[in-house]
Amino acid sequence: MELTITNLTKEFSGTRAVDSVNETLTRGVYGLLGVNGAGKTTLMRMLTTLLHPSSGSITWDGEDIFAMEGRFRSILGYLPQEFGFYPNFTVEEYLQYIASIKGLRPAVAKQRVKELLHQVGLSKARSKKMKNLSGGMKRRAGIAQAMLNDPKLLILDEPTAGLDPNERIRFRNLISELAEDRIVLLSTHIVSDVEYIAGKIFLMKDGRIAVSGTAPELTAAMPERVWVCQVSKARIDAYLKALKVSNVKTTPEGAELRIVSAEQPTDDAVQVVPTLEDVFLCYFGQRGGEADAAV
Amino acid sequence: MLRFELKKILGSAGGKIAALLLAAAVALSCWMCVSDVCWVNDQGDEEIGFAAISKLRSAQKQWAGVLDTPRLEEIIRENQRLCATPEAQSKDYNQNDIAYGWKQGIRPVLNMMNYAYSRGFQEYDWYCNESVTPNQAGDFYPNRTKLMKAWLLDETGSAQYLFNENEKNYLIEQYETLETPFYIDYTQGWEELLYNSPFVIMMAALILGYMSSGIFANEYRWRADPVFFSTRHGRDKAVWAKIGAGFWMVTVLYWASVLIYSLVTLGLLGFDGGQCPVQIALWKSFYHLKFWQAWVLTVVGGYIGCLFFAFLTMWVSAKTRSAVFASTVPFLLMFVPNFLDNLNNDTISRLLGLFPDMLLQIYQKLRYFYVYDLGFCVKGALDILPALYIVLTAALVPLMYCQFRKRPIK
Repeated sequence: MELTITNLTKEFSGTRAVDSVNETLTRGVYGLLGVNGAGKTTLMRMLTTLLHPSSGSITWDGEDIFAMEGRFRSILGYLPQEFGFYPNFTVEEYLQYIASIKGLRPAVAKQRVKELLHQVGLSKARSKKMKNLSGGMKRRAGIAQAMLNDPKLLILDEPTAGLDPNERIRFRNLISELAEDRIVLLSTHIVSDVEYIAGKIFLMKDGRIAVSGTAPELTAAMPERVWVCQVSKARIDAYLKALKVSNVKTTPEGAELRIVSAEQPTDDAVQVVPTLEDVFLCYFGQRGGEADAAV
Repeated sequence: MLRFELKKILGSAGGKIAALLLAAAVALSCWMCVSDVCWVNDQGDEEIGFAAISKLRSAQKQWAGVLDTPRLEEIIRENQRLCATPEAQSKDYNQNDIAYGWKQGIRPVLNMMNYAYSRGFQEYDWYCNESVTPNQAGDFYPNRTKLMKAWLLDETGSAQYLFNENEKNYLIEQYETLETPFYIDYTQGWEELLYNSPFVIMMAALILGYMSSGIFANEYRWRADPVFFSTRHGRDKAVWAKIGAGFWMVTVLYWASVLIYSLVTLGLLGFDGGQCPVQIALWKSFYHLKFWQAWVLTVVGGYIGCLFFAFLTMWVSAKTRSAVFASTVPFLLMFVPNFLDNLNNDTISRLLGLFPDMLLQIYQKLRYFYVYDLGFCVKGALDILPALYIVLTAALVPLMYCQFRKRPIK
């Protein structure tokens, strides 16, 4: 069970969305972190054979995945970023349909649908039309369809986007449960999604894997340090503009700032242990600090 | 897979509305057939409805049989007798209507006489039959060929520009080899059925075309394509299932519509006259067809046409990813020929005879002289069209399969 990516490049009208990516994935959970537009979705679409690379190759146990055609897709489970569905199908019908196009025999499909509905907590909603599900329920139906064929390679593109914190935690736990004996590649721009469940994390920037490793490795290898300091309210904006501020905590005296910087930002700044969020900020700057990225 | 694909089409609100519209079109067509039949009673007033149908059937049944020279003489004498009545001679329209009512049993033969005894092939004189005498009865069938030959061979006539020598010879041969004398009967059921059939078939083509337009394109519209294409059969069997769904949807809904329409119409108006030649209603037609054969040709041609329209729509939707654009294809195929016909260009007019809209209105086109010299033989358009569009429809299958399965995700 080995997915090998070699010099993978994808160009769109002269722009390199994915640029010379080289990685090897074996059993385990992998996180793909990057800001919007970093090339995560393009990379995943090549891994799911939906897009052909401009150059480079992707192999599964040494065999080109595009040459494998249906054989590769039979070991693949995919939850796309924009998870589309058939609005007039019930949850159960939807899963049965996907099971049929995944090549599951009807009897097996019936049993598998039942199991997965239970696993993702949609048993009671099985007869609901897909269009009537909440955002979280739709995502759970999405993960269920991806798991129908018990895939060896599970690719989840922004699976927690748009979910509330409770749903997000529940979803993360579900992915952890499903991660046994397979490769799971989880793409997100939300740091906490991968921090707890991914064995290895890839930080993707401008189409390239900027850095990779486990969460401790990434924090240890961070080229800048993390500081905490107190500043007055009047100076908060100046710090936000001049430095990479990963957190602002308001206090009666002003604010406590968490700053990623090679140099000590203020005389009273105290160095602290970095987190993955700090690493993210270090590599992506303030672009990483989007509204839902700090959870 | 097929079951789910059919549910995708028929389960949507648009699909349900389209199916209801098709049912409404069938019901409307049946009503049009029944309401078209009228009977003029002894007071000269028009009656419609089931009683009118029964009276007309009864009147025309009296004259059913082989329309040979003695029978024609008999009909001409009867016509002369009725034309000489005070009611027919009267200046009062109501009295004329009463006289008209007496002729309803022989009206189909009188209509044919108006063509057979007219002065030219391109002429029709409503009152011509009134001047025909019994000793002219023997000219009835020969006149059909004689007038057509005169038109074809007239060096100053329009036929010179329309046909080459092979085509002219073909038309003459078709006329000369038509089986005569005709067997006549009450044929109102078949005539109404065939006359209104283009409405049902064209509505079916439009509605089924609309329903087909989403089979491929809705995968994109619903953003379901990434999951679809990343599955084991997403680029093979599942695509075939979509094509199969289009085929079965058209097949089942088309035949259900056409058979219900035909059975209800013939059930109400009568099955009689299926063995009569279509020349009773379409005197100039060069096709050798009985009414039942014309019906088979009409509905089979309509089926091939609907399937072609649906498959072409599906191919366009796979190519453009737009159900909206694709659903305009049936409209364009149906109405562009009408626009081109107005250009009054002989070459374009001849080409129009091979357009797919012809398949949807075969009975109406039986009267037209669309003939084509293929080099080794000459054939009428309706001999060519079914085979031509079976081939084109079959050719669309691999085209749409390849188009959809190889389409990259945006």
